Amino acid sequence: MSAPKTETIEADVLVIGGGTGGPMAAIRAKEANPALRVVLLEKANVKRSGAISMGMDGLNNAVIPGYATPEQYVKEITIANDGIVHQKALMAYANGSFDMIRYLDKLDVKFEKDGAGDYAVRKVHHMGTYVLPMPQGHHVKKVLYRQLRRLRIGVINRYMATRLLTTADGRVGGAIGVNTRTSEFLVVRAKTVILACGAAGRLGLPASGYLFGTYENAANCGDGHAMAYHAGAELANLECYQINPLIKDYNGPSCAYVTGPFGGYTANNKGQRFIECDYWSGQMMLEFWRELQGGNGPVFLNMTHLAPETVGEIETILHSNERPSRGRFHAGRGTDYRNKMVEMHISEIGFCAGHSASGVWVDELARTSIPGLYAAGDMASVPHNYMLGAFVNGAIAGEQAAAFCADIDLPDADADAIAAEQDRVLAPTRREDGLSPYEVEYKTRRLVNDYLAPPKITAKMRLAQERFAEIREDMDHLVARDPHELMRALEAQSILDCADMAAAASLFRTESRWGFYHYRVDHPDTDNANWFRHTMLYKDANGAMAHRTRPIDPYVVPVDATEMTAYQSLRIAPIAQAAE
Amino acid sequence: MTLFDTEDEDLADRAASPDAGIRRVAMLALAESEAPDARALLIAGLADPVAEVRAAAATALEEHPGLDAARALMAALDDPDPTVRGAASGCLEARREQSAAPLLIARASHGAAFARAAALRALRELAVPEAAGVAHDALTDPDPVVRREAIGVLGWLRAEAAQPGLIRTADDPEPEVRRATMAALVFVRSGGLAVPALIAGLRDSDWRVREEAAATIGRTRLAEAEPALIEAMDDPVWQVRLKSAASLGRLGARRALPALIGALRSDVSNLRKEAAAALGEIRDPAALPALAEAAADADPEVRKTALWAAGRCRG
Amino acid sequence: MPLAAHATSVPVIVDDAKCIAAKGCTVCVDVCPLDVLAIDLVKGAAYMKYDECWYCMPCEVDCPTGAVTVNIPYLLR
Ligand SMILES: Cc1cc2nc3c(=O)[nH]c(=O)nc-3n(C[C@H](O)[C@H](O)[C@H](O)COP(=O)(O)OP(=O)(O)OC[C@H]3O[C@@H](n4cnc5c(N)ncnc54)[C@H](O)[C@@H]3O)c2cc1C
Ligand code: SF4
Ligand code: SF4
Repeated sequence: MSAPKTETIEADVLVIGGGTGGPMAAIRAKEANPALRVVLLEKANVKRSGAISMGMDGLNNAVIPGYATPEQYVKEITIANDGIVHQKALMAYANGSFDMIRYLDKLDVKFEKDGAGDYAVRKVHHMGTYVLPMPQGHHVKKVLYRQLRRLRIGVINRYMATRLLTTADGRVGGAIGVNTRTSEFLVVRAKTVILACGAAGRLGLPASGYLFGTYENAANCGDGHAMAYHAGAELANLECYQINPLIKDYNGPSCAYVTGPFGGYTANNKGQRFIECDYWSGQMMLEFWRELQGGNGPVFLNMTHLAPETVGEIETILHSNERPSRGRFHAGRGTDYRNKMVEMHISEIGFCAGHSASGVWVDELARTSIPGLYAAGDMASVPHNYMLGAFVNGAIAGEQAAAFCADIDLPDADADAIAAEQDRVLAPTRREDGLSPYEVEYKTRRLVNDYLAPPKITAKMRLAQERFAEIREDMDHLVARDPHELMRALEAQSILDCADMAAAASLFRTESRWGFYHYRVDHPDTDNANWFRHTMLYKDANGAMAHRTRPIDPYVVPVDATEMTAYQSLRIAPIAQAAE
Repeated sequence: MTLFDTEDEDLADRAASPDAGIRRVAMLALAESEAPDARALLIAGLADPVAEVRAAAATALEEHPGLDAARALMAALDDPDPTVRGAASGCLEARREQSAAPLLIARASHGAAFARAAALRALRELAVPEAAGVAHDALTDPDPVVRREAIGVLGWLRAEAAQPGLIRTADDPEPEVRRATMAALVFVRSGGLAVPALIAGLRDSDWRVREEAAATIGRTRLAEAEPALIEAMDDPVWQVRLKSAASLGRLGARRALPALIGALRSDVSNLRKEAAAALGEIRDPAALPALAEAAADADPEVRKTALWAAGRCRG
Repeated sequence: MPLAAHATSVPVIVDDAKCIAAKGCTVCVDVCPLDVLAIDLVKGAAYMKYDECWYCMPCEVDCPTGAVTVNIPYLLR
């Protein structure tokens, strides 16, 4: 066998993932020290990659003076996450939020402004005001790309990172990637690495059965989670899944945050509202699920009562930003918001801190448990991060990495590790026949739906583990006939890693928490005495999946017990109780 | 390993190709080109005989700041082809180039209505005080789109001195111009010249104007508008009532209690919720019985807001 | 296990008459996050090579000639 074509480059800061947090990390690292060699590695093309490929409808969690304080925000997210948060990281985000909005504004990202040019903030959360619409959000990526170009940051597109390199003393040493069009290898030796590979969005199978009909950008399949895991980093609270209320079959947001301020709301089949707050949370999803179970489904987004002018405005936003094919989907089914409610459903599961709370553990400086390795955005553990969180924490990661690499040498590359990884990567290209990546991926994800989606049942999750072990053996039969299929074959392996992590993490926490996200039928109660802790999943010295818990750091914003429960009772008050 | 995927080598040749298709693709590629002559090639492209090439050049110039480019784009606002004009206008707005302000100011009073509006639109976000004069003059422009853009410029400038002009556009025959006026008046302070115009906006014949006026009054916290806002709680359109309720909350208008309590019984649940929230802002214990009733509302959002508001009225 | 040839409809359509790939354009292929578009060198036009589409639309929006139409994949429609 001839040696695979391999190029090696060096970097001070290597950023993996050029979606949202990644470009910002690269930009801020370079701004912090223009002498640094900053490289941004992207599986797709930075111009249009990641969750914000077509922009966003708005900032879901803007903390803008005069509307909300950082303390309010930290409290709100703490409560929404049943207390399991690293508050310092939330506070770091909240404190950086407004500066980041102004920075983005300066770069030319357009936010909705009122007649005098002030930000036009709208309300979705219970306590504060946090939504800042972006009616022209589709320009976000253009703006980021321009700044990368101005700063002369090395952008390398169409390389998929497959594994991180680590040093003998446990630091990060770079990464190895493979070109998705040629299967050539790239080794980046780096002093620091920032992971920003987005959510694990191809974990559950969408109800449509279409592998790429996911809520998340389908390029985000959990590579980052898998790479961090194999490098020995800790992942936190993975059992706190992402599950979203979405347009049925289309599987994209409807989106309550856009339509809510205009008067749209989620309703049952009687046209009645049943959720106290359209803000996405595990509690909200639990109520959604119960409504379906109780025979009041389907659940709809209702806008039929709105004025035609208002609906027109909503359509302009929803059909030109974020998921612009929404309009086409509705047209195909003859759905006009003016006279027909939009059918909603419960999405497949995934890992995404952006919307829920799980991911690679990071502290308030975006540091993972591996020295020199940082993570930001949907794959890092800061809850309810959303787009602005990816930007703020990406910026923190970039600045921290720039500072960290100032006093260290470039680690040596481990030739054996590289050779071993190249063998693993190329294995599917060396087979004539066997299993296609698509059928292996389909089967894994179908089993995720069958056995891991809540309500979580211990016996089912154990069966899932047996099936996953069988699929792991099937990986030795994967066939890739071209570089594109090889990318899919590698993705199938990341997906299986994530499926295994989802099962193990869910079994480890023997209580229920976060509403529907971790609703365990065999342990229906929340058990604060034993489980008011983070769960940490990692690969132990023997290469096995291991767990530990981590105490919650003392809060920086106290939340007393009554506030916690007062919010709960507000949130789920049935009519009889509320009347008291 | 190359930085960015640009293939600069032959762009100049391609930009001069006899084949218009190749020139067009070259223009697009020039957007990201680092080559020193990229901007000049694009400016030349704005004069290409083929409209598609000119439009591509106009779009690509967004990535190349510089006064010569801005000047060429302003000329392109008179292009015979509407796509080229649109691309030039979009590009000028996106560039947000402070140094081009004098050119834009000059352009705002000359040429076709399209060009005047485009220049004003580009000026808005620059928020340069020097633009106030030309924007003020444009308030009487024969074209309503130009008038609307001029209002936008003055709003962003918080141009106190422009209030007489804005009082006139508050009576404009075009509803959209009147609506823009109400939005721009968000800088007006209590006792300001334009306050009566804003209050009159609550009685406009077009509900969008009334809605905008109600929202602006809340943002500016104009106490003298309180009686008119309370009247607006009887508006036939619920969206207007909803914005009025929210603004009454912001004003802390105790006198609005009966109107807001009345709105708690509306059949529009969004309005009930907003009324409850406003009562929570006003924090008058007299609202407690009504809020207790609302805490049993059929709509959970209303219940939640009512409970929150009752808590605030109590303590 | 030998592999089967598997037929599936693709959601993205390119109008060959409008596409200027022959003049050097590769915009849609460049921007697609799933890397599922390609240029047919014989026809001189872009086409959808793999049915793995997130129906996200950069290909359509960024195409300079309006040659691309993104349809919703059949299974979701
Ligand atoms: C449909 C949708 C709507 C949303 N709406 C809103 C909203 O309205 N407001 C809001 O605030 N937030 C919203 N969000 C959330 C927000 O967009 C995300 O939280 C945020 O963009 C995540 O940023 P990120 O950098 O973590 O991931 P992404 O932006 O997704 O970037 C991840 C990048 O990593 C790349 N990558 C993946 N694997 C590899 C690999 N192996 N090697 C190299 N590169 C790799 C991917 O190609 C991608 O470019 C929405 C998300 C979605 C999906
Ligand atoms: S972007 Fe449009 S013109 Fe260019 S190759 Fe694709 S389809 Fe053809
Ligand atoms: S819609 Fe998105 S995923 Fe589908 S071909 Fe176009 S760019 Fe690619």
